[in-house]
Amino acid sequence: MSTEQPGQGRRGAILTALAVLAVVVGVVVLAVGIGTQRPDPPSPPAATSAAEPTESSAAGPDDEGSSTMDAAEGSSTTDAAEGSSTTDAPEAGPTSTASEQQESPGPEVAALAPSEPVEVRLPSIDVTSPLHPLGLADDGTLQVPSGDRYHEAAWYDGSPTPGEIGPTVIEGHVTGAGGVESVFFELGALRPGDTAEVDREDGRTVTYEVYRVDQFPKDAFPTVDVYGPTDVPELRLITCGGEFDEQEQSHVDNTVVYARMIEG
Amino acid sequence: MKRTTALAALAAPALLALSAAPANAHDIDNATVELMAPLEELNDSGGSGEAWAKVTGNEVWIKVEVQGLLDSSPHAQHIHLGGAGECPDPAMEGSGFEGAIRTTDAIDSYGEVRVSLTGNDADTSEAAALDVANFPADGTYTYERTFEVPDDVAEGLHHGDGVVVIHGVDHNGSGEYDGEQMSDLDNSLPSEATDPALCGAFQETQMSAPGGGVQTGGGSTSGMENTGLIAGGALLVAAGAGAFALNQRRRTDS
Repeated sequence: MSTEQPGQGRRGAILTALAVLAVVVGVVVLAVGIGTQRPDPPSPPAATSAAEPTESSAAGPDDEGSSTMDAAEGSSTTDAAEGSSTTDAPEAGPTSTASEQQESPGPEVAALAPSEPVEVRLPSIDVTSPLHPLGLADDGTLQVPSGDRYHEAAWYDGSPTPGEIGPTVIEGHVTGAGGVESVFFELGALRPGDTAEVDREDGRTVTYEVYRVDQFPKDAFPTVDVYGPTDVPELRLITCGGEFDEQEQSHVDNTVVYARMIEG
Repeated sequence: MKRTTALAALAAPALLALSAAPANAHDIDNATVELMAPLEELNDSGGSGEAWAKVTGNEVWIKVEVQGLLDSSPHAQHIHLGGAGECPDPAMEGSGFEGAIRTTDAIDSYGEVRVSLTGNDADTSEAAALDVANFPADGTYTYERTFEVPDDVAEGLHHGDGVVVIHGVDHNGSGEYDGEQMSDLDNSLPSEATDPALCGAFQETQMSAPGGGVQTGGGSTSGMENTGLIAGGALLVAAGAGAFALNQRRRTDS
Protein backbone atom coordinates (compact mmCIF):
# COMPACT_ATOMS: atom_id res chain seq x y z
CA MET A 1 0.00 0.00 0.00
CA SER A 2 2.62 2.48 1.11
CA THR A 3 4.74 1.91 -2.03
CA GLU A 4 1.99 3.28 -4.21
CA GLN A 5 1.81 6.56 -2.37
CA PRO A 6 3.85 8.76 -4.74
CA GLY A 7 1.77 7.70 -7.76
CA GLN A 8 -1.42 8.21 -5.88
CA GLY A 9 -0.22 11.66 -4.86
CA ARG A 10 0.34 12.69 -8.49
CA ARG A 11 -2.99 11.23 -9.53
CA GLY A 12 -4.58 13.04 -6.63
CA ALA A 13 -3.10 16.36 -7.72
CA ILE A 14 -4.35 15.89 -11.28
CA LEU A 15 -7.78 14.92 -10.01
CA THR A 16 -7.88 17.99 -7.79
CA ALA A 17 -6.90 20.22 -10.68
CA LEU A 18 -9.61 18.66 -12.86
CA ALA A 19 -12.16 19.11 -10.11
CA VAL A 20 -11.26 22.77 -9.65
CA LEU A 21 -11.41 23.30 -13.42
CA ALA A 22 -14.85 21.69 -13.54
CA VAL A 23 -16.08 23.98 -10.81
CA VAL A 24 -14.67 27.09 -12.50
CA VAL A 25 -16.12 26.19 -15.91
CA GLY A 26 -19.41 25.27 -14.24
CA VAL A 27 -19.62 28.63 -12.50
CA VAL A 28 -18.86 30.47 -15.75
CA VAL A 29 -21.51 28.51 -17.67
CA LEU A 30 -24.02 29.14 -14.88
CA ALA A 31 -23.24 32.83 -14.88
CA VAL A 32 -23.68 33.08 -18.65
CA GLY A 33 -26.87 31.07 -18.50
CA ILE A 34 -28.44 33.20 -15.80
CA GLY A 35 -26.97 36.46 -17.07
CA THR A 36 -28.51 36.14 -20.52
CA GLN A 37 -31.92 35.14 -19.19
CA ARG A 38 -34.78 37.27 -20.48
CA PRO A 39 -36.10 39.31 -17.58
CA ASP A 40 -39.60 39.11 -16.17
CA PRO A 41 -42.07 41.51 -17.76
CA PRO A 42 -42.09 44.92 -16.07
CA SER A 43 -44.47 45.48 -13.19
CA PRO A 44 -46.07 48.72 -12.10
CA PRO A 45 -44.64 50.19 -8.92
CA ALA A 46 -46.80 49.24 -5.96
CA ALA A 47 -47.57 52.88 -5.28
CA THR A 48 -49.71 53.37 -8.40
CA SER A 49 -52.45 51.27 -6.88
CA ALA A 50 -53.15 54.18 -4.58
CA ALA A 51 -54.45 56.12 -7.57
CA GLU A 52 -58.04 57.18 -7.73
CA PRO A 53 -60.77 54.57 -8.03
CA THR A 54 -62.60 54.12 -11.31
CA GLU A 55 -65.82 55.76 -10.17
CA SER A 56 -64.19 59.07 -9.42
CA SER A 57 -63.46 59.44 -13.12
CA ALA A 58 -66.72 61.32 -13.34
CA ALA A 59 -65.20 64.12 -11.38
CA GLY A 60 -63.08 65.20 -14.28
CA PRO A 61 -61.16 63.59 -17.09
CA ASP A 62 -58.81 66.54 -17.21
CA ASP A 63 -58.44 66.92 -13.49
CA GLU A 64 -55.50 64.79 -12.40
CA GLY A 65 -55.91 65.66 -8.76
CA SER A 66 -59.50 64.51 -8.51
CA SER A 67 -58.78 61.57 -6.25
CA THR A 68 -60.11 63.28 -3.16
CA MET A 69 -62.87 61.74 -1.14
CA ASP A 70 -65.26 64.55 -2.04
CA ALA A 71 -64.90 63.95 -5.74
CA ALA A 72 -65.46 60.23 -5.33
CA GLU A 73 -68.53 60.67 -3.19
CA GLY A 74 -70.00 63.32 -5.39
CA SER A 75 -69.80 61.12 -8.43
CA SER A 76 -71.09 57.99 -6.75
CA THR A 77 -74.30 59.70 -5.76
CA THR A 78 -74.91 61.04 -9.27
CA ASP A 79 -73.97 57.66 -10.70
CA ALA A 80 -76.89 55.95 -9.05
CA ALA A 81 -79.39 58.46 -10.31
CA GLU A 82 -78.36 58.35 -13.94
CA GLY A 83 -77.13 54.78 -14.24
CA SER A 84 -79.65 53.63 -16.80
CA SER A 85 -79.58 56.71 -18.99
CA THR A 86 -75.85 56.43 -19.59
CA THR A 87 -76.02 52.78 -20.54
CA ASP A 88 -79.11 52.94 -22.70
CA ALA A 89 -78.03 55.90 -24.77
CA PRO A 90 -74.28 56.17 -25.05
CA GLU A 91 -74.33 59.08 -27.48
CA ALA A 92 -76.59 61.14 -25.29
CA GLY A 93 -74.51 60.30 -22.24
CA PRO A 94 -71.83 62.95 -21.99
CA THR A 95 -74.11 65.93 -22.26
CA SER A 96 -76.69 64.66 -19.79
CA THR A 97 -73.95 63.45 -17.46
CA ALA A 98 -72.21 66.78 -17.57
CA SER A 99 -75.34 68.77 -16.87
CA GLU A 100 -76.15 66.68 -13.81
CA GLN A 101 -72.69 66.96 -12.32
CA GLN A 102 -72.15 69.71 -9.86
CA GLU A 103 -68.53 70.16 -10.83
CA SER A 104 -68.11 69.20 -14.45
CA PRO A 105 -64.72 70.24 -15.79
CA GLY A 106 -64.29 72.66 -18.67
CA PRO A 107 -64.05 70.98 -22.05
CA GLU A 108 -65.56 67.51 -21.81
CA VAL A 109 -64.71 65.03 -24.52
CA ALA A 110 -67.81 64.03 -26.45
CA ALA A 111 -68.50 60.32 -26.67
CA LEU A 112 -68.69 58.76 -30.12
CA ALA A 113 -71.20 56.52 -31.85
CA PRO A 114 -70.13 52.86 -32.02
CA SER A 115 -67.41 51.83 -34.47
CA GLU A 116 -65.16 48.83 -33.99
CA PRO A 117 -61.46 49.29 -33.28
CA VAL A 118 -58.86 48.24 -35.86
CA GLU A 119 -55.48 49.24 -34.39
CA VAL A 120 -53.96 50.14 -31.03
CA ARG A 121 -50.79 52.18 -30.52
CA LEU A 122 -48.87 52.69 -27.28
CA PRO A 123 -46.10 55.13 -28.29
CA SER A 124 -44.25 55.18 -24.96
CA ILE A 125 -43.49 51.44 -25.20
CA ASP A 126 -43.28 51.28 -29.03
CA VAL A 127 -46.30 49.05 -29.49
CA THR A 128 -48.44 49.06 -32.62
CA SER A 129 -50.83 46.20 -33.20
CA PRO A 130 -53.82 45.45 -35.39
CA LEU A 131 -56.92 44.50 -33.40
CA HIS A 132 -59.37 41.65 -33.88
CA PRO A 133 -62.57 41.03 -31.93
CA LEU A 134 -62.77 38.22 -29.36
CA GLY A 135 -65.66 37.11 -27.16
CA LEU A 136 -66.16 35.02 -24.06
CA ALA A 137 -65.24 31.36 -23.78
CA ASP A 138 -67.82 28.80 -22.61
CA ASP A 139 -66.64 29.18 -19.03
CA GLY A 140 -67.30 32.92 -19.11
CA THR A 141 -63.66 33.96 -19.24
CA LEU A 142 -62.24 36.21 -21.91
CA GLN A 143 -60.93 34.40 -24.99
CA VAL A 144 -57.30 35.18 -25.74
CA PRO A 145 -55.52 35.68 -29.09
CA SER A 146 -54.40 32.40 -30.66
CA GLY A 147 -53.02 30.86 -33.85
CA ASP A 148 -51.79 33.31 -36.48
CA ARG A 149 -52.96 36.23 -34.36
CA TYR A 150 -51.32 35.05 -31.13
CA HIS A 151 -48.99 38.04 -31.02
CA GLU A 152 -51.67 40.62 -31.91
CA ALA A 153 -53.79 42.50 -29.38
CA ALA A 154 -57.55 41.89 -29.35
CA TRP A 155 -60.67 43.86 -28.48
CA TYR A 156 -63.33 42.22 -26.29
CA ASP A 157 -66.39 42.54 -28.54
CA GLY A 158 -68.74 42.59 -25.54
CA SER A 159 -67.17 45.83 -24.31
CA PRO A 160 -67.98 49.30 -25.68
CA THR A 161 -66.24 50.31 -28.91
CA PRO A 162 -63.54 52.99 -28.42
CA GLY A 163 -65.08 56.39 -27.76
CA GLU A 164 -68.36 54.98 -26.44
CA ILE A 165 -69.10 55.52 -22.77
CA GLY A 166 -67.78 52.68 -20.66
CA PRO A 167 -64.56 50.70 -20.44
CA THR A 168 -63.28 49.46 -23.82
CA VAL A 169 -61.31 46.27 -23.14
CA ILE A 170 -58.17 45.43 -25.13
CA GLU A 171 -55.98 42.45 -24.22
CA GLY A 172 -52.70 41.04 -25.45
CA HIS A 173 -50.27 38.31 -24.49
CA VAL A 174 -47.21 39.10 -22.41
CA THR A 175 -45.30 36.05 -23.64
CA GLY A 176 -45.62 33.15 -26.06
CA ALA A 177 -44.55 29.51 -25.94
CA GLY A 178 -41.04 29.14 -24.58
CA GLY A 179 -41.16 32.57 -23.01
CA VAL A 180 -40.76 34.68 -26.16
CA GLU A 181 -41.92 38.24 -25.68
CA SER A 182 -45.38 39.02 -27.02
CA VAL A 183 -47.20 42.23 -27.95
CA PHE A 184 -47.93 43.47 -24.40
CA PHE A 185 -44.65 42.36 -22.79
CA GLU A 186 -43.84 45.94 -21.80
CA LEU A 187 -47.38 46.91 -20.74
CA GLY A 188 -46.44 47.12 -17.07
CA ALA A 189 -43.93 49.85 -17.94
CA LEU A 190 -46.73 52.30 -18.87
CA ARG A 191 -47.16 55.14 -16.40
CA PRO A 192 -49.93 57.65 -15.67
CA GLY A 193 -49.74 60.42 -18.26
CA ASP A 194 -48.73 58.09 -21.11
CA THR A 195 -51.10 57.95 -24.04
CA ALA A 196 -52.82 55.17 -25.94
CA GLU A 197 -54.38 55.58 -29.38
CA VAL A 198 -57.02 53.39 -30.93
CA ASP A 199 -58.05 53.66 -34.58
CA ARG A 200 -61.66 52.89 -35.42
CA GLU A 201 -63.25 51.39 -38.49
CA ASP A 202 -64.81 54.75 -39.34
CA GLY A 203 -61.36 56.31 -39.62
CA ARG A 204 -61.45 58.20 -36.34
CA THR A 205 -58.71 57.85 -33.75
CA VAL A 206 -59.48 57.93 -30.03
CA THR A 207 -56.67 59.10 -27.76
CA TYR A 208 -56.61 58.03 -24.13
CA GLU A 209 -54.46 59.12 -21.21
CA VAL A 210 -53.29 56.52 -18.71
CA TYR A 211 -54.31 57.34 -15.13
CA ARG A 212 -53.52 54.10 -13.34
CA VAL A 213 -51.42 50.96 -13.83
CA ASP A 214 -51.97 48.06 -11.51
CA GLN A 215 -51.24 44.38 -11.04
CA PHE A 216 -53.66 41.90 -9.47
CA PRO A 217 -53.44 38.20 -8.63
CA LYS A 218 -55.68 36.37 -11.11
CA ASP A 219 -57.48 34.65 -8.26
CA ALA A 220 -58.36 38.04 -6.78
CA PHE A 221 -59.16 39.86 -10.01
CA PRO A 222 -61.21 42.99 -9.21
CA THR A 223 -63.97 42.47 -11.78
CA VAL A 224 -66.02 45.51 -10.81
CA ASP A 225 -62.99 47.75 -10.69
CA VAL A 226 -61.83 46.73 -14.17
CA TYR A 227 -65.07 46.04 -16.05
CA GLY A 228 -67.51 48.16 -14.01
CA PRO A 229 -69.46 51.09 -15.44
CA THR A 230 -67.72 54.39 -16.10
CA ASP A 231 -69.19 57.81 -16.82
CA VAL A 232 -66.88 58.68 -19.69
CA PRO A 233 -65.20 56.65 -22.46
CA GLU A 234 -62.37 54.70 -20.89
CA LEU A 235 -59.88 52.03 -21.90
CA ARG A 236 -58.56 48.93 -20.13
CA LEU A 237 -55.39 47.28 -21.45
CA ILE A 238 -54.90 43.84 -19.94
CA THR A 239 -52.07 41.32 -19.99
CA CYS A 240 -50.40 38.85 -17.68
CA GLY A 241 -47.66 39.63 -15.23
CA GLY A 242 -45.90 38.63 -12.08
CA GLU A 243 -44.36 35.29 -11.29
CA PHE A 244 -44.71 32.41 -13.70
CA ASP A 245 -46.30 29.36 -12.11
CA GLU A 246 -44.58 26.37 -13.77
CA GLN A 247 -47.25 23.98 -12.56
CA GLU A 248 -50.14 26.03 -13.91
CA GLN A 249 -48.06 27.14 -16.91
CA SER A 250 -49.29 30.69 -16.51
CA HIS A 251 -48.45 33.96 -14.83
CA VAL A 252 -50.11 34.41 -11.46
CA ASP A 253 -51.03 38.08 -11.97
CA ASN A 254 -52.82 40.28 -14.47
CA THR A 255 -51.44 43.72 -15.30
CA VAL A 256 -54.20 46.25 -16.00
CA VAL A 257 -53.76 49.73 -17.45
CA TYR A 258 -56.61 52.21 -16.87
CA ALA A 259 -56.95 55.15 -19.26
CA ARG A 260 -59.62 57.65 -20.16
CA MET A 261 -60.44 59.36 -23.44
CA ILE A 262 -58.92 62.80 -23.92
CA GLU A 263 -59.47 63.25 -27.64
CA GLY A 264 -61.49 61.64 -30.37
CA MET B 1 -111.67 59.60 5.23
CA LYS B 2 -110.50 62.82 3.69
CA ARG B 3 -106.98 61.63 4.26
CA THR B 4 -107.44 58.36 2.41
CA THR B 5 -108.86 60.06 -0.66
CA ALA B 6 -105.97 62.46 -0.64
CA LEU B 7 -103.60 59.52 -0.42
CA ALA B 8 -105.44 57.71 -3.19
CA ALA B 9 -105.22 60.80 -5.36
CA LEU B 10 -101.49 60.90 -4.78
CA ALA B 11 -101.10 57.20 -5.33
CA ALA B 12 -103.05 56.95 -8.57
CA PRO B 13 -100.63 58.88 -10.79
CA ALA B 14 -97.74 57.13 -9.10
CA LEU B 15 -99.24 53.73 -9.87
CA LEU B 16 -99.88 54.78 -13.45
CA ALA B 17 -96.28 55.83 -13.80
CA LEU B 18 -95.12 52.53 -12.33
CA SER B 19 -97.23 50.39 -14.61
CA ALA B 20 -96.23 52.40 -17.65
CA ALA B 21 -92.50 52.14 -16.99
CA PRO B 22 -91.94 48.41 -17.59
CA ALA B 23 -93.82 48.55 -20.90
CA ASN B 24 -91.42 51.19 -22.16
CA ALA B 25 -88.40 49.51 -20.66
CA HIS B 26 -87.22 46.02 -21.49
CA ASP B 27 -89.28 42.90 -21.08
CA ILE B 28 -88.11 41.74 -17.67
CA ASP B 29 -88.91 38.06 -18.22
CA ASN B 30 -86.45 37.62 -21.02
CA ALA B 31 -83.93 40.34 -20.38
CA THR B 32 -80.76 39.90 -18.40
CA VAL B 33 -79.48 42.94 -16.62
CA GLU B 34 -75.93 42.95 -15.29
CA LEU B 35 -75.21 45.07 -12.24
CA MET B 36 -72.06 46.09 -10.43
CA ALA B 37 -71.21 48.09 -7.35
CA PRO B 38 -67.92 48.89 -5.68
CA LEU B 39 -68.52 48.59 -1.93
CA GLU B 40 -67.49 51.74 -0.11
CA GLU B 41 -66.60 51.94 3.54
CA LEU B 42 -69.11 53.28 6.06
CA ASN B 43 -68.42 53.94 9.74
CA ASP B 44 -64.65 53.59 9.20
CA SER B 45 -65.17 49.84 9.08
CA GLY B 46 -61.78 49.31 7.44
CA GLY B 47 -63.34 47.10 4.78
CA SER B 48 -63.64 47.19 1.02
CA GLY B 49 -65.22 45.02 -1.62
CA GLU B 50 -67.38 44.71 -4.67
CA ALA B 51 -70.70 43.20 -5.73
CA TRP B 52 -71.58 41.82 -9.15
CA ALA B 53 -75.00 40.49 -10.11
CA LYS B 54 -76.90 39.21 -13.14
CA VAL B 55 -80.68 39.29 -13.02
CA THR B 56 -82.76 37.35 -15.57
CA GLY B 57 -86.47 37.56 -14.94
CA ASN B 58 -86.82 36.69 -11.26
CA GLU B 59 -83.54 34.83 -11.03
CA VAL B 60 -80.64 36.58 -9.38
CA TRP B 61 -77.01 35.46 -9.51
CA ILE B 62 -74.80 37.49 -7.22
CA LYS B 63 -71.18 37.48 -6.17
CA VAL B 64 -69.99 39.59 -3.27
CA GLU B 65 -66.33 39.95 -2.38
CA VAL B 66 -65.39 41.57 0.89
CA GLN B 67 -62.06 42.28 2.56
CA GLY B 68 -61.02 43.74 5.86
CA LEU B 69 -64.11 43.65 8.04
CA LEU B 70 -64.17 42.30 11.62
CA ASP B 71 -62.94 38.70 11.58
CA SER B 72 -64.71 35.77 13.26
CA SER B 73 -67.98 37.69 13.37
CA PRO B 74 -71.13 37.40 11.24
CA HIS B 75 -71.77 40.04 8.61
CA ALA B 76 -75.42 40.40 7.67
CA GLN B 77 -75.67 41.38 4.00
CA HIS B 78 -78.70 42.57 2.07
CA ILE B 79 -79.97 44.19 -1.07
CA HIS B 80 -82.01 47.23 -0.11
CA LEU B 81 -84.69 48.76 -2.33
CA GLY B 82 -87.16 51.60 -2.19
CA GLY B 83 -84.96 54.46 -1.09
CA ALA B 84 -83.10 56.93 -3.29
CA GLY B 85 -81.05 54.01 -4.66
CA GLU B 86 -77.85 55.36 -3.21
CA CYS B 87 -75.47 55.07 -0.28
CA PRO B 88 -75.35 57.63 2.51
CA ASP B 89 -72.52 60.12 2.74
CA PRO B 90 -69.94 58.32 4.93
CA ALA B 91 -69.50 61.59 6.81
CA MET B 92 -73.18 61.65 7.76
CA GLU B 93 -73.85 62.16 11.48
CA GLY B 94 -75.77 59.14 12.73
CA SER B 95 -77.48 58.13 15.95
CA GLY B 96 -74.91 55.50 16.85
CA PHE B 97 -71.61 55.23 18.76
CA GLU B 98 -69.88 58.62 18.53
CA GLY B 99 -72.13 59.63 15.62
CA ALA B 100 -71.91 56.30 13.80
CA ILE B 101 -74.48 55.65 11.07
CA ARG B 102 -76.99 53.00 12.15
CA THR B 103 -78.95 51.02 9.61
CA THR B 104 -82.19 52.98 10.03
CA ASP B 105 -80.37 56.34 9.90
CA ALA B 106 -79.75 55.96 6.17
CA ILE B 107 -83.02 54.29 5.18
CA ASP B 108 -83.92 57.25 2.95
CA SER B 109 -80.77 56.64 0.94
CA TYR B 110 -80.88 52.89 0.39
CA GLY B 111 -84.41 51.89 1.41
CA GLU B 112 -85.57 48.77 3.21
CA VAL B 113 -84.07 45.28 3.18
CA ARG B 114 -85.70 43.30 0.36
CA VAL B 115 -83.16 40.52 -0.17
CA SER B 116 -81.13 38.75 2.52
CA LEU B 117 -77.90 37.40 1.07
CA THR B 118 -77.79 34.24 3.17
CA GLY B 119 -75.91 31.03 2.53
CA ASN B 120 -76.72 27.38 3.22
CA ASP B 121 -79.86 27.53 1.03
CA ALA B 122 -81.52 29.65 3.72
CA ASP B 123 -84.42 32.04 3.06
CA THR B 124 -83.40 35.11 1.04
CA SER B 125 -86.40 37.28 1.81
CA GLU B 126 -86.48 40.28 4.15
CA ALA B 127 -87.75 37.89 6.84
CA ALA B 128 -84.22 36.51 7.08
CA ALA B 129 -82.63 39.95 7.49
CA LEU B 130 -81.05 38.96 10.79
CA ASP B 131 -80.53 35.24 10.17
CA VAL B 132 -77.12 35.55 11.80
CA ALA B 133 -76.27 31.85 11.53
CA ASN B 134 -76.46 31.90 7.73
CA PHE B 135 -74.46 35.03 6.92
CA PRO B 136 -70.72 35.05 6.19
CA ALA B 137 -68.91 34.73 9.49
CA ASP B 138 -65.55 36.30 8.69
CA GLY B 139 -64.09 39.67 7.78
CA THR B 140 -62.83 38.60 4.36
CA TYR B 141 -64.96 36.39 2.16
CA THR B 142 -66.38 35.63 -1.26
CA TYR B 143 -70.11 34.96 -1.40
CA GLU B 144 -71.85 33.58 -4.47
CA ARG B 145 -75.42 32.37 -4.83
CA THR B 146 -78.29 32.08 -7.32
CA PHE B 147 -81.88 32.44 -6.09
CA GLU B 148 -85.35 33.68 -7.02
CA VAL B 149 -86.86 36.99 -5.94
CA PRO B 150 -90.47 38.25 -5.96
CA ASP B 151 -91.71 40.28 -8.95
CA ASP B 152 -91.42 43.71 -7.37
CA VAL B 153 -87.86 43.03 -6.21
CA ALA B 154 -86.91 41.76 -9.67
CA GLU B 155 -88.39 44.89 -11.21
CA GLY B 156 -86.46 47.17 -8.85
CA LEU B 157 -83.23 45.33 -9.61
CA HIS B 158 -83.88 45.47 -13.36
CA HIS B 159 -84.22 49.22 -13.02
CA GLY B 160 -80.87 49.41 -11.26
CA ASP B 161 -82.36 50.60 -7.96
CA GLY B 162 -80.76 48.00 -5.65
CA VAL B 163 -78.21 48.92 -3.00
CA VAL B 164 -75.96 46.31 -1.38
CA VAL B 165 -75.26 46.86 2.32
CA ILE B 166 -72.92 44.75 4.47
CA HIS B 167 -73.32 45.10 8.23
CA GLY B 168 -71.18 44.67 11.32
CA VAL B 169 -68.66 47.23 12.61
CA ASP B 170 -66.42 47.02 15.66
CA HIS B 171 -66.60 50.71 16.64
CA ASN B 172 -64.69 50.37 19.91
CA GLY B 173 -62.02 48.03 18.57
CA SER B 174 -62.73 45.31 21.13
CA GLY B 175 -62.51 42.54 18.53
CA GLU B 176 -66.15 41.56 18.88
CA TYR B 177 -69.65 42.99 18.70
CA ASP B 178 -70.37 44.65 22.03
CA GLY B 179 -70.98 48.09 23.50
CA GLU B 180 -73.84 49.55 25.46
CA GLN B 181 -76.02 50.60 22.53
CA MET B 182 -78.37 47.93 21.24
CA SER B 183 -79.31 47.48 17.60
CA ASP B 184 -82.01 49.57 16.00
CA LEU B 185 -83.12 46.40 14.21
CA ASP B 186 -83.11 43.91 17.09
CA ASN B 187 -82.64 45.01 20.69
CA SER B 188 -81.11 41.69 21.66
CA LEU B 189 -78.06 42.42 19.50
CA PRO B 190 -75.38 45.07 20.04
CA SER B 191 -75.71 47.93 17.57
CA GLU B 192 -72.19 47.07 16.33
CA ALA B 193 -73.57 43.81 14.91
CA THR B 194 -76.02 45.55 12.59
CA ASP B 195 -74.47 48.96 11.84
CA PRO B 196 -73.60 49.30 8.15
CA ALA B 197 -69.96 48.60 7.26
CA LEU B 198 -69.96 48.68 3.46
CA CYS B 199 -72.39 50.05 0.89
CA GLY B 200 -72.62 49.99 -2.89
CA ALA B 201 -75.39 51.22 -5.19
CA PHE B 202 -75.90 48.92 -8.15
CA GLN B 203 -75.33 50.38 -11.58
CA GLU B 204 -76.06 48.66 -14.86
CA THR B 205 -72.85 47.54 -16.57
CA GLN B 206 -71.81 48.61 -20.04
CA MET B 207 -70.81 45.09 -21.01
CA SER B 208 -71.25 41.46 -20.13
CA ALA B 209 -68.18 41.24 -17.92
CA PRO B 210 -65.73 38.37 -18.36
CA GLY B 211 -65.26 36.13 -15.34
CA GLY B 212 -61.99 36.30 -13.45
CA GLY B 213 -58.53 37.04 -14.76
CA VAL B 214 -57.22 36.84 -18.31
CA GLN B 215 -54.92 34.07 -19.57
CA THR B 216 -52.60 36.24 -21.61
CA GLY B 217 -49.29 34.54 -20.97
CA GLY B 218 -47.94 31.69 -23.05
CA GLY B 219 -44.76 30.87 -21.25
CA SER B 220 -42.35 31.86 -18.56
CA THR B 221 -39.56 34.30 -19.24
CA SER B 222 -37.63 32.88 -16.32
CA GLY B 223 -35.54 29.87 -17.22
CA MET B 224 -37.07 28.38 -20.36
CA GLU B 225 -34.53 29.48 -22.95
CA ASN B 226 -31.33 28.83 -20.97
CA THR B 227 -32.35 25.66 -19.17
CA GLY B 228 -29.60 23.61 -20.84
CA LEU B 229 -26.80 26.02 -20.03
CA ILE B 230 -27.86 26.40 -16.43
CA ALA B 231 -28.34 22.68 -15.87
CA GLY B 232 -24.98 21.90 -17.51
CA GLY B 233 -23.19 24.51 -15.44
CA ALA B 234 -24.75 23.27 -12.25
CA LEU B 235 -23.83 19.68 -13.14
CA LEU B 236 -20.20 20.66 -13.75
CA VAL B 237 -19.98 22.52 -10.46
CA ALA B 238 -21.50 19.61 -8.58
CA ALA B 239 -19.25 17.02 -10.28
CA GLY B 240 -16.15 19.10 -9.70
CA ALA B 241 -16.95 19.71 -6.07
CA GLY B 242 -17.77 16.04 -5.58
CA ALA B 243 -14.53 14.86 -7.17
CA PHE B 244 -12.54 17.36 -5.17
CA ALA B 245 -14.07 16.22 -1.90
CA LEU B 246 -13.62 12.55 -2.77
CA ASN B 247 -9.98 13.12 -3.68
CA GLN B 248 -9.30 14.99 -0.46
CA ARG B 249 -10.77 12.14 1.54
CA ARG B 250 -8.65 9.58 -0.28
CA ARG B 251 -5.53 11.59 0.40
CA THR B 252 -6.23 11.92 4.09
CA ASP B 253 -7.22 8.25 4.32
CA SER B 254 -3.91 7.03 2.96
